This record gives sequence, C-alpha cells and structure tokens, in this order.
Amino acid sequence: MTRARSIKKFMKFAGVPLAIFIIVLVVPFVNGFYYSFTDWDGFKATKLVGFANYTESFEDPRFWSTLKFTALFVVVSLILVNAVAFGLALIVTSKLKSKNFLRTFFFVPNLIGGVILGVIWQFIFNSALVALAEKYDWEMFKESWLQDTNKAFWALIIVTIWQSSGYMMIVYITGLISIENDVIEASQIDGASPVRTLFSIKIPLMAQAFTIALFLTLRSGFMAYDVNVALTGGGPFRTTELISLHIFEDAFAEGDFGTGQAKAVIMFLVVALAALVQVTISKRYEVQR
Amino acid sequence: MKKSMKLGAIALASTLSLSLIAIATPSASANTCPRKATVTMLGTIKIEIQDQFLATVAEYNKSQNCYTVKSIPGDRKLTFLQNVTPMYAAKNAPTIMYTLQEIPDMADKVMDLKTTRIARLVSKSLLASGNVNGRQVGVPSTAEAFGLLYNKKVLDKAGVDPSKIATRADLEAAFKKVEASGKKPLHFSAIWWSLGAHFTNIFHTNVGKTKEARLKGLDDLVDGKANIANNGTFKNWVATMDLLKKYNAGKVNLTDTEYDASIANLAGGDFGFMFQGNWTEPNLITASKGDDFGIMPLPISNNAKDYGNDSIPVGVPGYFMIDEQQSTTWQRKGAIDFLTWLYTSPAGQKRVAGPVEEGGMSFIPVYKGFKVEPKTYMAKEISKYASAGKTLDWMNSYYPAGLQEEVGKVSMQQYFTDKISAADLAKAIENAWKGKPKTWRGEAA
Amino acid sequence: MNTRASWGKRATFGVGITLAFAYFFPFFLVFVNSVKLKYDILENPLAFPAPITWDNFQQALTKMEFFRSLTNSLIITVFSVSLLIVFSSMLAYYLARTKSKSSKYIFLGLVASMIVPFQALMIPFMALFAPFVSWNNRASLVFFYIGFGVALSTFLYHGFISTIPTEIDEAASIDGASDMVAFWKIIFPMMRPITATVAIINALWIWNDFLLPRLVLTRETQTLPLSTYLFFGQYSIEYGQAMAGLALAVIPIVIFYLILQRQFISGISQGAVK
Repeated sequence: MTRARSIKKFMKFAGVPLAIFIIVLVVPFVNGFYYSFTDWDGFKATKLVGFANYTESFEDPRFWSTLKFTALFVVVSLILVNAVAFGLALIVTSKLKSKNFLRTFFFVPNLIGGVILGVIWQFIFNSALVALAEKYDWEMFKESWLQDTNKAFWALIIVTIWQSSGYMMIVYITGLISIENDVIEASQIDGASPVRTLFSIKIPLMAQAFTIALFLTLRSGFMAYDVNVALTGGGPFRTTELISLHIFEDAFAEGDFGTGQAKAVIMFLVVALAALVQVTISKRYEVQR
Repeated sequence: MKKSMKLGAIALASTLSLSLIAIATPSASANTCPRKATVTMLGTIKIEIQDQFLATVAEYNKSQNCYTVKSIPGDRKLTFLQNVTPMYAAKNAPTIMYTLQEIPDMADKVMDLKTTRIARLVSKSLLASGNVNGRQVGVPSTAEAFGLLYNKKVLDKAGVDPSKIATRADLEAAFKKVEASGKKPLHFSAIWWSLGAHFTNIFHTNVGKTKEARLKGLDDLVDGKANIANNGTFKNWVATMDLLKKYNAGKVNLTDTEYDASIANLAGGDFGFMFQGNWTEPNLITASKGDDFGIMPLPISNNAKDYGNDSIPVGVPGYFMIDEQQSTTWQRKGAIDFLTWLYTSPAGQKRVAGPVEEGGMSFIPVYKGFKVEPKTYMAKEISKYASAGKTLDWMNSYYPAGLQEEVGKVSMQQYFTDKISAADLAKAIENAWKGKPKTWRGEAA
Repeated sequence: MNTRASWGKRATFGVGITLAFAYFFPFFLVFVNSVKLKYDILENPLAFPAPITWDNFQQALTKMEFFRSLTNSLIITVFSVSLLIVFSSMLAYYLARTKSKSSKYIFLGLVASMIVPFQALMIPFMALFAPFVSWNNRASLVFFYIGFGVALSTFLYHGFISTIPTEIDEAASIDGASDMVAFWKIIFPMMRPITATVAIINALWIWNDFLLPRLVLTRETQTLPLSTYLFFGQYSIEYGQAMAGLALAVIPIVIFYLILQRQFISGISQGAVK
C-alpha cells in the first residue's frame, strides 16, 4: 500500500473517532494535568505553583484515610461481588426449571443507575429497616447503619453487591457454559464430587472469565461515585468518602481546584497501577491452565 | 432555610416598622420590549416553599411579556459553590443566584445593585451581609428566626408556659413536665446544617454583647488565638447541647431525611419541642391537624440575666445576586424586574408574605411598603421578639464557604453521637477556623 | 444418589428463590410506598397501603416532567449508541487490520484511557467545551459520549474482528469493492453479535449516567435519572411522591429489559468472551 493510500484509509476509518476521542478525553486530561500545577480556583488560574498541590494532597490526613477506605472498599467489594456473582451463576446454570426466572431477578438491579439505587437503599437503611427493627426488636438494625462508619461501609458493600453481581453473573455464566460438557461428564465418571469438579475442572477452565470480571469490578470499585453520593453522601463524619467523592467535595466546597486536580492525577496513577497488577496476575493463571 | 442560611445584621424591628410606611409604587414591568429574554434562577429560594415559589414565577411570567423567569433545579446534596462553579465553567451561569455564606466568593461576578429601587427599600443593617467592599452585591429575601420551636397544644396540656423558661434548669423542668404528660419532650435533630450553621451560631452569637466583641471572637479563631474549651460561653453551650441530647426522643439519623422526620414528629403532636427555625412552619402547618407552633429562645446558662438567654437569633437567610459576567443586559433587566415585582407589586407581595395555604410563602417582609404580612402564630411571636429588641445576630452569615459543612458533618455530628469529647469538639472548631479569610474585615474570600 | 441429587436441587432452589426475593425487595418497598399517603410511609414503610392513592404518581409525573425526560433520555441514548457503533466498529476494523506500530500504540492508548476517572477531567472539560454546550447541549452530550465510549467499544470490536479471517477482506478487495463498501457490506454484518453487546453496554451506561448530563443539560433537556434525582432531592419531604418518582424512573428500563432479555444476556456474554 502506498503511503498516500494508507493515510487516506486512516482518515476514512479512524479519523473521526480518534479526533473526537482526542478532543473529548485527551485534551482535558492534559489540561487537567497542567492545572494540578497551578493555583486554579475553578474560575481562574493566576500562577504556577510547582508541586505545592501534590505536597498539600499528601499532607491532608483525610486524603490518606480516603485512600485507605477506598482500597478496603475495592478489595472487599472485589472479593464479595465476584463470589456472589459466581454463586448466582452456578444457581442459574444448574438444572432448575426456574433458572431463567431467577436470572431475570438477579440482573434487574443492574439496569438501574447508581444514583437511583443509592436513594432507594438510603430509604431502606434509614427508614424501612429501622421501622422493622422497632417492631420485631432486631437489635442490629435499630440504629440506621448509615450513621456508623463500619456499618456504613458494609451498607456500601451490600448495595454494590446487589447492583453489580447480576452483571458479573452473566460473565461467569458465559465462562461456565463455554466448558465442554464431555470434560465435566468425564470427571463425574471418574467419581469426582461436584465440589471437586467445580474447583479442579470448572474454575481453571474458565480463568478468562475471572480475569474479565475481576478487572471490571476493580475498575468500578475505584471509580464508584453514584452509589457513594446517593447512599452515604460520605457520612457519617465524612468517613465513608471514596476517592471520587472526596475529590469532588474538596475541590468544590472550598474552591480548591488545584489540589483537587492533583488528587485526581494521583487517583489515576493508583488505578493504573492496580489494574496493571491485577491483569498481569490473572493472565498468568490463564496461561498456566 | 437550610444549607445556606446566613444572615447579617438584624434590625428586624426597624424593618417591621418601616413596612408600615406603605409606599405605593407601580410595577416596573413594561409591556413592550424588543424581544423576550429568559432569566434563569438557580433553585427556588428554599425547598419548603418550592411549590409556592414556582407558582409565583408562573404568575410573574403571565403578568408581563418581556421576560420568562425559569428556575433551574439545584442539587440539594451539593453546596451552592458545587452547584454554581460547573455552570460558570460551562458559560451557563444562572442569571439570579441565591445564597448567603458564599456571597464574598461570588462578589466579583455579580452586579452592584446599589442603585436599584428595591435595594433602597431595605434598611442598611439588613443589606449589610449582601455588601462586599461597598458594592451591594445582594438583596435580602426575608428574615428568619431559629430557636426552640414548640407545639403549643402539647405544652398547654403539659402545663408548660414557654414564656417562663429563662434558664437551662427551667428548660429541663419543662422537658420533664412534657414527659410526665405522656409526650416526648424534644426532637433534637442531628442534621448537619442545623448543627453546623444554627446550633454553632448559638455559641458564636452569645460570645459577646456587642457586635465587635462577637467578631473579635471570630478573629481569634482565625488567628489561632482562641482557647474556646476554657470559654464560659462555650462550656454553657456544650452543657445545653448535652441537655438537649439527653432529652432527645427523636430517632437519630445523620442524613438529610431526619429533617422530614422531625417535622412529622412535632406536627403530629407527639413531641413538645424541636430545635429549628420558622422556615419549617409551612410544613408544620400542612402536616398538622390545626395545631399552633411557637418559637422561644434557647437559654444556655442558669442565670436568666445572662446575655442571649431571652433572645432568638433573627437574620436574613439569603440574598439574591444577579450575574454580570455571562448574562445579557436584557436578562439582568429581567432579573431586576422580577425581584421588583416580587417585593413591590400587590400580587408579588401576596405571594411573598401570604399564607402557604393560599399559595404564599409566608415570608416575614424586609422591604418597605409591604401591605401583606404573615399572620401565623410563629410569625407573630417573632415580631414580638423583634420589636422588644430581643434578637441575636446570625454569626453564621460570616462562616467561610465550606466551614459549616466541615463542622456540621464532622465534629458536631461526632459530638452528637458521643464519638468525641467536648474538648475534641473545641479543638475541631478551632482547627476549622484557623487561617480562613476574615471577610467581615474586608478580606477577599 | 438420586435422592441426594434431588435434595441438592431443592437446596439450590431454596437458596435461589430466597436470593431472588432479596434482590427484588427494594423495588417492592418503592412500589408499596409510592401509593401511600405522606406520613403513613414514615410510620410503617412495610405495611400494605390502605388506602391506595395514585395522587403521588400524578404529582410525580408532572413535577419531574416524566414524558419530556423520557423523550430526552431516548433521543440521547439512541443517537449516542448508533454513532458509537458506527465509529468504533470502523476504528476497530482499521486498528485490527493495520499491522503497524502506530496502530498498536493507538490501541494501547485507547485501552489505557478506560481507567481515567471522570473526576480527573470534569472541570477542565467543562471549561473547554462551554461554547459548544451552550450551542446545543443535547448534541454536545452525544459528542461527549462518543469521546468517552469509543475506547471500550473499539476494544470490544477489536477482539471480535481478530476472529474474522483476513481472507474475507482479501476476497472482497479482489472483487473490486472499496474499503468502505467491503467493510459495511461484508464485515459489519458478520459482527452482529458484538454489535448487540456494544449497543447494550453503552445503552445501559448512557441511559443511567448522571454526572455528565448533570453538568451539560438544562431543565428542558434533562434525562430521566437526572430529573428523578433532582425531583427526589427537592421533594424528600413528600416521601410518597419521591417513591412514585423512583418507580417511574425504574419502570421504562425494566420493561425494555423484559422485552429484550435474551439480547441483553447474550450481548453481555459476548462482551465477556472478548
């Protein structure tokens, strides 16, 4: 292919989408990176301040506790969402007659945006469960879960599981049904128990589904915002702020956008690193099988 | 009401008397104009009278054909600046904005309203918080008061006379009486804006008898020179908070929804008192079966003569500002015309101060020439306090942007739920103030 | 053996049905309370409504301007998703078929961009695109969705195209078809399963997105989640109305899902395989 022709082909197929991608994503990203070195207040930037915003971010104790809280949230939600989703996938790929009906139910929460879900669950934790607890004397729900840091953490986890396990379930269903039936039958003839078949045959054979589901949950864990803002709003005492909400709150509430932007850059680096590590490890398992 | 309450100087008494001097003025609306302009306003002043305000806007839009006012809904979970900054960045700023504590942050973006007719209809003291370095950047909406609200029927049954409660000990006795009558004494709401702006104000406003002494209190906090844990007013204030916590029978809930629950409780006739402001009155009246609701001071010491024990904080909860950077001349004209109509025309005044049941907002007027006044039980009580000079400053007008969130959502709610000690609370308040701009001394936000 | 299997089956069914109930419970609460009177809700959120009132729905329909928001959501989602399909399938085809260093780097760049948090872009983004937004905010929102969605969609298409043998392209070009014609007439129809995936994944995201529309749209062009949330925030005193609003926001997408269930499931499965 001549150079002129290949340029023409590039323009025809890739020109428009790449241009839009660069305009919408790359330019603001670079711009934001630049702003993290200025005294920008959301309205105007007057001077460069070097690494001051980064130093300030790292000196902010609440930023550290937010990072810790986010890391904990990512790890716990990653494990539980995938465990539950895999369990659901096993249920709806079993020989139950009602499996399609069950699958429908498990998937529905996924159709609804995090903000709406958060609002619904806030009502449940604050009003519905408390009312039930009063009536039936359930000690653990008498006080709204949303006013205790630890319980609010679990509330966030529960809602996240409820929301995203249906989606991951489908990823796992795909993995499970891609395993050839004769492999499983062979193991059963050999006398392997269902549990044994699950761990020795099924899981290793569907490692790719795990890589994907883990990546997706990792990413959505780090970027969680909607559920956080609508369910706990960062409360109680601003102790349940995940990193996205923290950046949003800090930058806007006091007009300190330079620091907010610096925190956003730090967040990007953390997510990139975590994703890289996770994919590398998962891929290694896939190769091994 | 809520998030953005602040208020400057008080002089409600003077305003009330000024409003008696009726000045008949024709509406500024012209009937011919080159083209129709759309004037946007962020929010609806406050949410309690949202339906009434939107109906008011519709009435204005029908009354003339030069301007269309449109209310853009704000996000209640976000602060004023969180709402408005992206709109400015998007060159999509609302023409009319309404806030209190963020006025200094917005001062360089909005019009000077000094020469407008409505600004001249307000007393100087009520304009004060909307004045930044000589520019009148905002005009007030109304005057509001907060303190202990009570359900009159419940107190009558319990044999409690609120006018006789002059000390903290009296208050405790009253709570006990209500309890003895089989009702719950009080709903002390843990909602962050109530604690962060209003309850903290009880401390900052009782700190000194003169305005200067009170501002000095803020200066010391900013300079890091205050040691409030040893301050007598602080100790009394904390003791009062402890008392309210002790008798609180409301279900503690740190999210916004507790507000609704507290209103339901007082309106339902199961509770005697709550710590809130008169902005809840429309909701109380709508939710109750014809009960009256009153307001009284929150006495913080055991000496009836101590400053503040007999007074209620009264102030302007917010000011209207008009954008000057991203609006057209016509839009600004429309914004002024709308506000002028609202506060000077008979129809507008009926909407502003008329009863909620009739589509009014039941606001206490702060503009001269008002022919309508709210006649509710609480409004009458407030004007009694005002004309007797028994009002306290809203020092929360001076809180820097973001401070009431920090103090309300973190340290006050922590103290409320017994997570920290009074000494920790004192430290947290000191830290929140340290190094903040002294806008009350003319420093830029 | 036989009894063991049927016991296992019963246990699975028991667990499944319990979980299904748990997954549905929150929606049950919303619907039950949406037809109750105002303060009945706070008193006992679990009780069945007596009397039933449809007034909440009526109020919510008008106040959140339901039909207008629904139309906006539909317009924005349909346009964004269609354009995303067109652009990202072409881009993916180009990148998958052009074995050069630059196309490899472009692909890596696209993949890397998927972990950029929106918060990192939000404010510079708004400052940059202000004039554009004020010209036509729905059109600019569609444009932004293409920019933000093109990476994931291209990634999905790229994986699928790699499984289509290059002989097919070559055959087409020998027949004298131009690149474009060959792509649209021959390759694109072969990608139907992955196109369904791209459509569904993007439609769910765009339909439910909150922060971006919040920044870009005005009251007239609000999407359904936006008007619901704002409505909820402003009327939280009116619990019944708020619940009715939530119910209204949930119903359209659930109906849509029940109709297209099979496509949804197979669509996401396709995405997972890639």
